[in-house]
Amino acid sequence: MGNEHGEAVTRDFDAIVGPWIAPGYRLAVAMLRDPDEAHDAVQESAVKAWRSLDRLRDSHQARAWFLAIVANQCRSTIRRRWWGVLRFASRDSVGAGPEDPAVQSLDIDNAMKSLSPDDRAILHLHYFLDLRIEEVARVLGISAGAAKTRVYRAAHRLRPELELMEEDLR
Amino acid sequence: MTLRDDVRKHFEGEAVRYPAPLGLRATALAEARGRAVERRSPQWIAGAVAILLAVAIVAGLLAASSLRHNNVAPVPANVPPKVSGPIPAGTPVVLYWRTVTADGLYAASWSGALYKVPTVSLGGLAVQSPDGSRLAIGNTVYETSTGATTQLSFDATTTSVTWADDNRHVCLIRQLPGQGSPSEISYDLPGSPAVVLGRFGSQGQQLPGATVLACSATSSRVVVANVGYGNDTSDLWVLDTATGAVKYHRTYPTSTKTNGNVGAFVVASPDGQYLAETDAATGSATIRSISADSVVAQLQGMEVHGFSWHGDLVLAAPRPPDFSLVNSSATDPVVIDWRTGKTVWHSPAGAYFVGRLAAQPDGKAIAFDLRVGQNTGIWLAAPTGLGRAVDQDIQFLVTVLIGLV
Repeated sequence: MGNEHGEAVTRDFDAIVGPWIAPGYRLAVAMLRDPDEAHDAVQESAVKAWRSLDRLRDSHQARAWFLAIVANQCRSTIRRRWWGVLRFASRDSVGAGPEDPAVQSLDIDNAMKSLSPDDRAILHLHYFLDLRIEEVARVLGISAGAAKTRVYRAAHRLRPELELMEEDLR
Repeated sequence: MTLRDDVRKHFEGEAVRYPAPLGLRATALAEARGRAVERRSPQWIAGAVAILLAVAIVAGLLAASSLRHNNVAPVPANVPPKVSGPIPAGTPVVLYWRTVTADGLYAASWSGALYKVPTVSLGGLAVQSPDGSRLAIGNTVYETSTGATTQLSFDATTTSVTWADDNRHVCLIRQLPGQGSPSEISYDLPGSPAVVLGRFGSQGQQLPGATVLACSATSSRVVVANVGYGNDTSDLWVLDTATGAVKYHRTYPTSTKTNGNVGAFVVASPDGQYLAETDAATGSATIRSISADSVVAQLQGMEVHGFSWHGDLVLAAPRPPDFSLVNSSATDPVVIDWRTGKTVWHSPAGAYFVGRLAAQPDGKAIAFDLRVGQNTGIWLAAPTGLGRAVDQDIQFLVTVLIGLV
């Protein structure tokens, strides 16, 4: 009987969390900008999700619930790494040749680098994953009003920098 | 390009540079179970099973409820799609991302058959032609049945593409530098000199500015709106594709209430014959014939997100009363025949429109991305009332995003 229960939990865990592993990885890359750290963060998040599955009251909220775990895990990772600036610089200098798609959109990429991980997260959640403001708020553990304000502020930080760079190039 | 376009382009590029490791899902789940299961107490497992059983019962009830809608045909989630080889020549399709990766592009025919699209190279916004035979990513055009490519001659970092309804011409929007600058609209047959139609709108920080709502070779018109932050429209022009002459101009109030960000959200039928104007002040949508410049229908309490090909049907969603934002209602979408006022299809309860739709070329069906529970699927809704998900666990359609839903 115990094994049957274990199999049921396993099956449902896979069904509930499985679809959000890849979006979680994308969110982690957006926040950490390091694929290896993102991989570790998602892996650790999956473990935490497994351990805290009993806190998920509504399976329809699984996306926000799991992405919130990932966002928190990424914040923990950031707090731990004192070498982050050096590592960012090293990462960004690799593979940026003319054929690299990054070169085609260098201005937006540079502007994104200047944003905080939470700002990148909120833009990623709202504009890339198409989460509604209410769900963004749930992921980040803030009110819908605060989420709306943060989206606005992050966008504001992004756009002025782009325009400043355009002016510099003229 | 809008802020959303810029941000999406950045993250699409990031997904190419840092693709998810192969087998990430399986290994993450397996390792989670392996590392954590031995620490679980029997009481925890019993509690979790109880919760999951409750979830399963609720899900079962919801599924049974959705089955009672005779126009909904649910498809199990997370089932890999059964694809039917390359897209047959002449078969119109809707393109969609299952994953935003070079190999994550699929196509659905209007009869529901699925196809794998040849590998593409990411690096710009992707927009399909109306029949899906071509796909523009940045300034590269892919033939979706063969993967053959050609280049369009424009700067993809400042220019966005809207395909015309003949699947050959394109309408281009080139943002001119500087806050408050207009955008240049041109009508282009790749390989031939572009026809510059003029400069319209005002774009800047978080202001999309000039936006092509419809690009029609068959009716020789381009419908352009000046769109503000919040997707409210201030001006709308209908341009002649040959001369750029303004055939029609309409203005909309952008502040009709003092307590909120209000205005009108406007969409056009792909043939450029009809407009749907959702007004935040009235909370209702007006269907307008451009040729006659007359109101032909009112949809009370509805926000319209898009039309079928010739404008016969609209995809709409109920608006909450006294809500001051436009382009914000996406839950419980419906397809309405505005001539009769009849709702020909309605979504499963609680579903919401994710933001992209496509019209069946020369037909009446509408394809769109719909989120039901925790899964986003590509749905086809026909005028007969049949609506169904033809694939699930997708990211989004490769059509122009409808506003900022």
